[in-house]
Amino acid sequence: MSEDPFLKINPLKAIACLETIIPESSVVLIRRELHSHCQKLIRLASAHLRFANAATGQLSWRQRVSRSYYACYTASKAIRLIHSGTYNTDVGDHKNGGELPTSFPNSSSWKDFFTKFRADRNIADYDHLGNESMLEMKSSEYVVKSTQFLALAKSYINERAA
Amino acid sequence: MMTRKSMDDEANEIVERFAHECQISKPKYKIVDKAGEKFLAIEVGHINNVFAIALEVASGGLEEDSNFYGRTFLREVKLPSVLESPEVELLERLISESLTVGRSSLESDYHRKMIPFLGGEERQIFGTANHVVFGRRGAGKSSLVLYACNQAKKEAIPYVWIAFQQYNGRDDLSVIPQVLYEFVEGIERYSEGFEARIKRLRKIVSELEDLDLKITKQAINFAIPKITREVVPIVNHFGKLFLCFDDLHLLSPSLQPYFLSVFYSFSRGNNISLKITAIENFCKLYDDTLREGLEPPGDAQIIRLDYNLVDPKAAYDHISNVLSGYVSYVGLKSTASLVVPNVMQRLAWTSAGVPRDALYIFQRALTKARAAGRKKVTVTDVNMSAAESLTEKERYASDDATSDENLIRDVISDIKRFCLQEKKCNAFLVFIDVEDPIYNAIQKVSDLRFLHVLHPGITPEKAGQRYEALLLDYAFYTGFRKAQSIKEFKTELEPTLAKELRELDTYRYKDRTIGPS
Repeated sequence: MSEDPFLKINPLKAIACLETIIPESSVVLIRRELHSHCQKLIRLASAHLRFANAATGQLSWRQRVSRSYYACYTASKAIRLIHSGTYNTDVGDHKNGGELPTSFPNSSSWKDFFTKFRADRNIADYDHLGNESMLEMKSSEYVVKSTQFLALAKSYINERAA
Repeated sequence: MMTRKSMDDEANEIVERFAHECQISKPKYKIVDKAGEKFLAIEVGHINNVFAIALEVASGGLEEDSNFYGRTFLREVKLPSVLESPEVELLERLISESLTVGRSSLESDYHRKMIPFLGGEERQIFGTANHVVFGRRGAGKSSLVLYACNQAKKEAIPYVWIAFQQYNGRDDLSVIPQVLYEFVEGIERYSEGFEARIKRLRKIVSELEDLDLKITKQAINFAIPKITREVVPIVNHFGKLFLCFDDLHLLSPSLQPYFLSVFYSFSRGNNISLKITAIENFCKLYDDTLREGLEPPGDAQIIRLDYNLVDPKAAYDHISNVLSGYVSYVGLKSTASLVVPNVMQRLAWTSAGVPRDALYIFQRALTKARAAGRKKVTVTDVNMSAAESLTEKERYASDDATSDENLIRDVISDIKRFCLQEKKCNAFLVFIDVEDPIYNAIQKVSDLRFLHVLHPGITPEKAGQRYEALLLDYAFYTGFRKAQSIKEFKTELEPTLAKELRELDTYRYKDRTIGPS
């Protein structure tokens, strides 16, 4: 995975440390770059969701769950990046998908959603004996919920960028 | 060496913590396998934010090496009866909590919900004017003022809430330094940097309080400018202050005007807004002879929260909106999922549009339906619960009507006799004569929710002679079902026609012997 060095530091912490030294225009540039990363993450999330929506066949339940999960997980990364400046590419970060800021609408309910979504995505991607009835909700319902989450994520990021 | 807890023990502990957080009984749970990983699934009918927050708390303290770290979730399951669900249990708890509204409600779940008021009164109450909120017990007066306090809290505006329960029936001037003392205690929360002023305020008030029953109006009037001098800089620091008096009518009406004069004299022009709740017919805001008190609308604006049954559909809508707020808060799909058809209509009539009565009746009806093993609340459950609400109303009647309790009881008995034995109808007309003490007592009976207004003034006989149309509370003639011998004025929600009202019998109180026989 290509890693932008900008994401290796925490841009918000950098601003907090440097804003009394660097000119205001530099702070604006850092914020703009941060927002640009978030927008690109949202674009990637949308691409995952498009794939999930396109997988309409009855046998494509695994793709619907897997792609919509990645749409939500990527959107969660964008939310966490704009809120606290953190960005993590470790595989262990999947457990943090639901760690949304409390300012995010109904953050606790979404956290609960993420926990079961991660569990069911594992069934979809890795359990060769798995079937759709083992999921907590139907694959199509996961796609609908993911669409709702993405819409909330977009407005949350835009509000903060403004 | 620490031994790792068994999976079952740990699951059980988490679910117990979850139940404790929500204050419900322990829900069912399962340990489920998801592609080789074990997860704890707690079963609920519908997921809501209250449950999600409780789960976050219940599993928040888990160590990374625990069995369910990051692996607990809520599972929606179809329960055999919605009334048996954890959400309904949560709903009952929330309703029960909100039946008593007071200062402490700001710290509870209650204030998170927005109780809708029909006329958008919440927009008025947060204004800087002085407000007196009139309404019957349970109409939502305290909730409305609490809404203003909640808004104040959000905007860092100080507020002081004084409940009058402990001053019930008092007519002595010593009440004033005692309330002033509560006021000083209240503003002390905002006194950082003003400690010396608070100390001086305490001294002024203590000196007044030490006079005990020898206290005079002169002594109080003399202290007021000194109090104002200390309070105003604190208020100016914050920009404004809300001073709330809850249930002012509990104070003896003979003291109320002077009491209000005292507080108005130091609030006026000093950015202190008075927010007062009271039952109208037990309240005397202004004394014309002594020229004391608050004279509306100049000194204070009146907000009336009386839904009554003048417009049954409006009462129904209001009750439905209040209940829907609670129902959606706990994650249930709709009130309709809990009740059979006609229950809400019955609830509107039996509660006469009074939100707290509706909540009380509904909560009891839920319990009854579940105890009877029903899947939904029925009209019978509402009827029986309405009958039980009488005890609740009677309990408060003597609090609210200290001075004329006996007359009020006699009037109630006579009206019951007239409706249930003589005319066998639950509605009647009464001649409006504001000078007549019996008519005034009837008004108070209505304020105590034993009677409900169907129409405030019609002229069925001679022009200029106005009559009020009233309905006797359902609790007097309803048990398992409504007494069959009593003719119900109306059961539907359409507007009442003048023709229907004119056909009602008149309760001629001037010709009756009211009192112990």
